[in-house]
Amino acid sequence: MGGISPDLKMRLNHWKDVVLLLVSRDFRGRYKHTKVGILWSLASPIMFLLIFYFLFQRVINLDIPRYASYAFTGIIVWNWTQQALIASVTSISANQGLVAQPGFPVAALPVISVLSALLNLAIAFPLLLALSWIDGGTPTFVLIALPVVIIAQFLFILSVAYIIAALNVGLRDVEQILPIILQLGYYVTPIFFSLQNVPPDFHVMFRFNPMTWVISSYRDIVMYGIWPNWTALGIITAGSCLFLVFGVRIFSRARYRFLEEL
Amino acid sequence: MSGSVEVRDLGKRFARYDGPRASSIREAMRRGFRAAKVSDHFWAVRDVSFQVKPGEMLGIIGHNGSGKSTMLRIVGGVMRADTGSVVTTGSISGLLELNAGMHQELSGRDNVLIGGVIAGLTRRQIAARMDEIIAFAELEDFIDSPVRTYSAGMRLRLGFSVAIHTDPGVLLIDEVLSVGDLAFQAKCLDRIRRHRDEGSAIILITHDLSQVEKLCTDALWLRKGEVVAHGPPDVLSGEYRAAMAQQTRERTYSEMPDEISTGGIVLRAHENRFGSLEKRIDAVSLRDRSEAIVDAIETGAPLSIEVCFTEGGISAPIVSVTIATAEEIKCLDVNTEADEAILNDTGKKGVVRLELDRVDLAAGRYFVSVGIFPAGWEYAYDYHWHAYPLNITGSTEDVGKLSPPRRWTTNALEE
Repeated sequence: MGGISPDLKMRLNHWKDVVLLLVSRDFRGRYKHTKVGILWSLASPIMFLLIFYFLFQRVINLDIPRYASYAFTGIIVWNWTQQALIASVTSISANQGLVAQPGFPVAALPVISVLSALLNLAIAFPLLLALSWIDGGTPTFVLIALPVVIIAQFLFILSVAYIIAALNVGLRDVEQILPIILQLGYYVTPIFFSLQNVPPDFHVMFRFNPMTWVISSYRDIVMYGIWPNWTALGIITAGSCLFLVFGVRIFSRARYRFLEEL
Repeated sequence: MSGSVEVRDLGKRFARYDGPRASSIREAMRRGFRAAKVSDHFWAVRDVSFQVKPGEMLGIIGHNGSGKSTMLRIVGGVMRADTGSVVTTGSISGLLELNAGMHQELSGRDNVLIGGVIAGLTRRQIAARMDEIIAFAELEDFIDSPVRTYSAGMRLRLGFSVAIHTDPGVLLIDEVLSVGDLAFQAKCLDRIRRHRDEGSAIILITHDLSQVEKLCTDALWLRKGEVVAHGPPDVLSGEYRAAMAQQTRERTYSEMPDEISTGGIVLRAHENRFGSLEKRIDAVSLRDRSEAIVDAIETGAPLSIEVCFTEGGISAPIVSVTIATAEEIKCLDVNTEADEAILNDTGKKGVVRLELDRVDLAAGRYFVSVGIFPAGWEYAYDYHWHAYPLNITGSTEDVGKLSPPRRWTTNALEE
């Protein structure tokens, strides 16, 4: 790569180190001094799985085949989005010291939040594969499409993260509203139920939700061994890239504004 | 590493809003989502020009709100100017917010890595100077314990050590040179001098004029965002001190009636009493080891000086105490700011007590002067000059004012 100037190379290198070290800080800091360490990140998804399994297999039967792996996919994929957004909404407003630090790449902060939350998904993934196998699924070569889905979801989360972090500078209510919206999102995304359980009149609401397509892509790959819906993933990726350009722009403007408002 | 800064006609304007800005939905709704009305603009920095060449160090002095920090942020590239230009060469490092981004639960060593990337180094660069950073912070024995277990001083030493081990082309320092004990401070100052001598361009913001005189090659005085003077550090700090005295004289309330100090001396405005009297010194008492109020002690005895002040004033005040001879030879000149004694005062009535373990002065007549100042030393609230006599007894009176416990010994040297 002779075309890259040494200065740019150095800066990219620094960016990479900032992301790596701060992701590892978040991750190791979270579970240090606990007995079972990272396994704690599995506690909440497993609990939700047990609740849903009891409710929608035993109390009310939703008639979804291989329900355990179906619901668990929904839970852990949604959790990535939820944890990443909650962590990144305060990227600027909670990091005054870093924002005022000359040369610190503030735009790396949402990336760090999104990647830290991805680690939880990565820890839960082997469990999902095991669950799917117990449920009668067999891993197929379709799993090679997994990185594509992860990248699409990553871009989607990141584009939203930049925008909400920027908005939260001027309007601190954003960080209060976000958990409520995410809670609502839990019910307008087919996480523990399927679209077949929903009256057709309401389907349109789910179709405009990118997370519906993201989660069903994971299910296609892991549970059903079929290729995901490439059109949907393509639209999500393209849309996220557009939003990302816009998001990074308002984010960097908000970063400057933040110090002036103090 | 070599670097430089050139600032030309720099201006930064902030908006002043009518009332607080909408920072919540409720407020925004109440205003019908119109932008808050900008009633006024003010210039935080205006028409400032200066140059810092490689190996030079510029000290910026000025009161709170004079635009010093805004200036530094613009040079650091974290804030944008409205007018003028800033050109820097070399990488920019800051000694601004130490310990930003560090994690309490992780070890000192992990936090050196974290602090290092935040200060602009790559992982490899930090690993290469890890031992040096730890040694400088004097934390060899604790470096693998979580930072949560560190004392406040240890944390600051860690943060400082990481931040100072960069290769700054341009180094920006904001009031952080008073961290740690004196030995550590001296080490930090040495390190900063070394950066300067290796070609860094350094900008230092401080209240401490003596630091500017000792370290800087050039000084800039800002008032309300504008340059008051720009020149050699010793000249500038002299002018700054003179302006402070002038301010105090102008603010001294001339009609104040004469009062008698608790030391029995008449206090007259402009003669031996200066200040705006927003906050007044009520009483000053000198106490010996049995807490009795005295005006004489023996050489080497302990002495406590208690200063009672009234409410008023705007911010945490600074209290100064000097002991001098009638000829104004100062034997002791201390204040709560330099000694880092924090007065938790928000304008209330209070008492400050200075305890001297030993007063090793030669016998004679001395005077205690006491002053109370707003943070920033812009002027005096109340200053009582030579208002409290102190007689030292029990040793011989002499020209030399210091009389510590002493002995002579002699040994014949055999050839």
